[in-house]
Amino acid sequence: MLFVTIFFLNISLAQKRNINIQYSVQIYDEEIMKNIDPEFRRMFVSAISTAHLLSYNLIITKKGSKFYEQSALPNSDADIFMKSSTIFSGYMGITYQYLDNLYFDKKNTGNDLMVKEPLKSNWKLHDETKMIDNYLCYKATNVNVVDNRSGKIFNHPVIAWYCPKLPFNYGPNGYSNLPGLILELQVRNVVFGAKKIDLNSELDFDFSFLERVKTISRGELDKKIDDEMQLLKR
Amino acid sequence: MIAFVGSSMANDIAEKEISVENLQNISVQEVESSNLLYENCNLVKFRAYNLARDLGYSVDTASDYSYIYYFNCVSNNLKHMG
Repeated sequence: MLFVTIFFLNISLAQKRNINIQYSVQIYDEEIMKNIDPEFRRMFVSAISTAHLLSYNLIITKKGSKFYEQSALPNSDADIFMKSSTIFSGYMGITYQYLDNLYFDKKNTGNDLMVKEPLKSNWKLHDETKMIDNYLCYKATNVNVVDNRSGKIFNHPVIAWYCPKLPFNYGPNGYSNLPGLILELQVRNVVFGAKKIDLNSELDFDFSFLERVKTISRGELDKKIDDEMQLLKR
Repeated sequence: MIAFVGSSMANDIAEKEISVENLQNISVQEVESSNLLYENCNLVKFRAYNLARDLGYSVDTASDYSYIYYFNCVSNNLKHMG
């Protein structure tokens, strides 16, 4: 009887708690980045060397998820170069997954305006597996298409390792919608890897503001930024 | 506050590093120099943005990156002016 009570008490407590995954990030060198503008190269190399200082959190609740940077970078004038790690990691800003949509909190959209996107689709599921922190994970691939609007289209490969034993369709940096939690994600030359998994976390957040927030599509935001950038050349 | 073209990181840094107070008590000549400085740095920013786009980075990333160039440009030039 005591066992049954404790069992149900545990389940009850477990349901109230959330899940928190801490990710580290690694940036790898690329051929295309080797013979470029020296200043750009310097920033890129700096980003590679300081990326290990970055840390990201993914909080999962019953309603959705929140992914955000938990920076370990010190705050000083010299850190402008260190911030390049965040940029080159492709961090998309605070990202919420809620009711089958993604919301990106980008300050460049203006206050109370967030980028809204559908969840990632077109995943290809593979049989290849690997163990991550004692979880059996499966490989899924996708493509991140970047059109630079000058006639070049880049198809950056995406590799996700998701774990069906953790049956939550969430993941880092806006990548999700797989039959298991993504514990490792590679987009282009950047790898987000789970370094700590807490299945009984007290971290929480409020989704309610997402029901009131004004949204803009990624395409609209890109066009807005691109148009403003073109004005600078005059 | 100086307005910066879209960059998620840009506004944070701008507010912290370049305040109106820094530009107070300056002469007309210095104002003209400042205007020229910002125009030139905007051009630097534009080029950095296009460079990043040519290397396959998204609008977001390129925009953030270009701001670092812009910030360095303004910061270095203000030092020389000061």
